[in-house]
Amino acid sequence: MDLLTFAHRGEAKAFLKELPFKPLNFAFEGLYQSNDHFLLITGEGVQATSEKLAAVLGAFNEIKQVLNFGVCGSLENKFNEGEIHPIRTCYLEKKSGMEFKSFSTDINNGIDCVSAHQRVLSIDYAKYLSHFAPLVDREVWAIGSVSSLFKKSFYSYKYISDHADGEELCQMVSLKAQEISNTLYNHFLNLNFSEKVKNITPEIKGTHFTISQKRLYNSLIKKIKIKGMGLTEIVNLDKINALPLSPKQKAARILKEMEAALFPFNEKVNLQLKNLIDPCKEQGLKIKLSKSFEQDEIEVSSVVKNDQDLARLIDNLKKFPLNKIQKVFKGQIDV
Amino acid sequence: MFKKAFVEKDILNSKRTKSILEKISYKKLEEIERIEDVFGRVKKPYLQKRTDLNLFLGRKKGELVKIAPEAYGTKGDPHYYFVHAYNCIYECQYCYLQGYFHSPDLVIFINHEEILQEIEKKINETEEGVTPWFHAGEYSDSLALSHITGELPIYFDFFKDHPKAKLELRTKSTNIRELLKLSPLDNVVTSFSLSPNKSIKEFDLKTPPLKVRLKAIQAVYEKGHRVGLHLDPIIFEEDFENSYRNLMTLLNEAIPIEKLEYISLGVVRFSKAVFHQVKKNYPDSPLLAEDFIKGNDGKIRYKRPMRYWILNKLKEICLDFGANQNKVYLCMEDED
Repeated sequence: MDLLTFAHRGEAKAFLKELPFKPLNFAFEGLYQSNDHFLLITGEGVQATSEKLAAVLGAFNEIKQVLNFGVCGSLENKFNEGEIHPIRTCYLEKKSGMEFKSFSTDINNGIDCVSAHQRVLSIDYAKYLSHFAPLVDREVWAIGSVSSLFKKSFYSYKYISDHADGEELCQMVSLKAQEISNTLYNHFLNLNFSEKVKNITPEIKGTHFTISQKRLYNSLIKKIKIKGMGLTEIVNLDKINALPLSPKQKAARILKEMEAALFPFNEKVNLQLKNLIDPCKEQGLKIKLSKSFEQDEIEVSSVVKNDQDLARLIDNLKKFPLNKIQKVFKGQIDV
Repeated sequence: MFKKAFVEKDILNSKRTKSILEKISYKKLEEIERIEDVFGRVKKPYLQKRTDLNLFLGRKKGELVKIAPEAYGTKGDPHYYFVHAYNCIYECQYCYLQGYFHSPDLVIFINHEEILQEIEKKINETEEGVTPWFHAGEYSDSLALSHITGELPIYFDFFKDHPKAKLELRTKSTNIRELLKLSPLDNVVTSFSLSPNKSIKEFDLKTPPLKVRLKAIQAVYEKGHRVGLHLDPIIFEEDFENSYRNLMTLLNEAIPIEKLEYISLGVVRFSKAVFHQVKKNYPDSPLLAEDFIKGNDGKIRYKRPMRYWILNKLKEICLDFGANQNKVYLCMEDED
């Protein structure tokens, strides 16, 4: 479900009239719901918008994305009054200066907008704001900030109501509210919002992945896609499924085969280390290598119960292929 | 080319500023007090450089010459870099500038005399018999905009009078017109960053193709300029060895490998912040299909056996092509 937000009721007039919204009994006034959408009147300014939007997104997890509609001023002459533009990146101007954080929609050909801490009533102020974005409003940064906090997509469509050149135009905007709202509503009808299809990694029957294995599996699936491969091309799932292994063991086997196919170099490194270490393990030594072989140190341990064990350990340590293992760490391998 | 040109008030009427502004196109000129009042004040998404690139002109303040990081250049010499620009016109997917300034806008500083005064101080502080190196291009490409910025003759004049110091100009560009106008100096090296053509096409977006870069190298070498080579960042590919042997064969046709002043080798690496930017900016990049780990220094890179194998193999290839053993150095990695 989408949440439509407006700073002022006037901007939302057409939406409330044309769509079957009903007021919701919530912590504050201004929240409506229809079968397909929520609608929120946030009030003007970053603080009011942040507070109300956060409360609504916190309360209604079914909201998947936030669509903001409203008016803005233009800081450049190239935009005409009455045009509607999607917003790309939003910035915030605070009393103390510019806020570093910015938020972006995924509309790359949109226009940037700076949310100002006060109405633009002087040319110098408009000029200062124009250094950062060509459009100015009072809310959109808050929409981006709160949506980002709740990990929701957000979009914003701004009707250019005036050129922010120092004149108080609020009254005029208020007189034109119905016309502006109709234009925004028509724009909304022409938008084609379909929820993005999430990349769902394929489930594999007969396996059980632990949480960390699942994370690794998803990451490897992504890498397979980037490399233009397919899972079934590199792993024989039927063969693994037929093996007398537990679901957890099957998952581990699949991950191992995926890694081997994706990173053949590492597979060769692992094999060469295995060939060096396995004979030592057979002699009762426990061997622990540093993570990703970043350190030269190798932890070797063994249980000693008597003099014979001790003598065997000393003998095994003398034969321990330390240099050969360290050479593999340093890339001296046959590839 | 530029959306807006922001110029610091103090230099608005300087000859150098006017010369730069005459050579570029921009939609609007904005006078500002200081670059830092606008540049970097907000986080501007990196890829907006494709559509909304601004230019800033001003004076570099603060530290003008900085000590280079460890293993920056040839061993044993002190290395410094100086800053006369921020950001680059190219778009390499691995570039650390993605996460550095939080803005892709170009900044050009014009107070070269002040930078040179600082360089002179460093030279004077250097003990006899030691060669201090000064690198341009840490935060920008040294040649890409040299026809606009016009600073090359100023630096050449200075280093002509300071033969005990060396200057390195790092580039991926083929914009050598201004360089070719200048008389070569023994202590000025133009170093080109190269990768196999497949890598250039895949990762070095908007940079000139290998063929054109090789032509530029040949022209610079034939004019008598000293040439260095950076094989950095090296990105592993399936046919790695052949790919680099082909590259060296082609390079050897442009300049005899033994004539290179040095060859630096470095395997691709990222800070955590830059890697985050790569994921954000290039979600389908083959870089994201690599098996990187977080190293002991916090950098994201290949596992150690692979890094060392790559460096050893590439060093071997360079030596096979006649490079002098002492002139091949490994960048940002211990040499064993």
